[in-house]
Amino acid sequence: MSGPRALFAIYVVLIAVGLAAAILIGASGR
Amino acid sequence: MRRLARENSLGLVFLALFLVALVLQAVAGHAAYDDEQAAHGEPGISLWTYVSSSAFAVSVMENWQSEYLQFTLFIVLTVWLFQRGSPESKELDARGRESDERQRVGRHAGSDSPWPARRGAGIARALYENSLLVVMGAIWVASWFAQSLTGMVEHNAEQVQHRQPELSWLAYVGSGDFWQRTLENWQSEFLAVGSMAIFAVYLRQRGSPESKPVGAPHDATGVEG
Repeated sequence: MSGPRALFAIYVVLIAVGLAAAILIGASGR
Repeated sequence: MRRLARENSLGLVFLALFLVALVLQAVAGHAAYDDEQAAHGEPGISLWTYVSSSAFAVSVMENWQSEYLQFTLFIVLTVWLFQRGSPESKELDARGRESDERQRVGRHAGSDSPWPARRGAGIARALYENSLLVVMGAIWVASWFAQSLTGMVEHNAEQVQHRQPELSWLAYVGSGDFWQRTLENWQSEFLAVGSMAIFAVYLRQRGSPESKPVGAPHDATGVEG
């Protein structure tokens, strides 16, 4: 995997995980 | 390996800065949260409990949404709006979505163009033509929604502490707390983007693509260094 492609994937995963975690935390009322 | 790091240093350094700042935000936020708890005569919580709480999540999400709104707006508004003399603006004669020739799509695409650009007009190309806007906009909407959920939980915890009634999600998104958290971030982004676009007309940073070349005239629009 090329450098930019790997970084693209890392950023996408990081953002998706962050958004999903925040939505789950909010939805669970924690 | 060295070449890989050098060629990707911008993405790598910002990634590292993000991770370090997020960890520091968690540590500082946890300390502040525990101070507040102590002031109310309540017990402290662990760092992990804090990090997985709405109190932490809302402060992360409110900043995410405003940053992504900033870039979403910047991407879409620069298609139609200009700033004479700014490297952030395109040339004054290129208003709108521009010709296929200029955008190198369809029969004007090269053999090294991304495959959707080589397609004729259709769903795949339309999606790819707007993919940066769509993705940045989707992250903005999702993080703003996440801010509303975690903000509601955090606000309601405070309401309970003060023996006040809890708000529904709909009531919360109409509340002062939600809009205060939202707008305190928006105003700073709008100011920063607007001033950056204008400052770059007259000011320079030698070597930065965010600036015009040092010797470029103030009147030159859409020129990057």
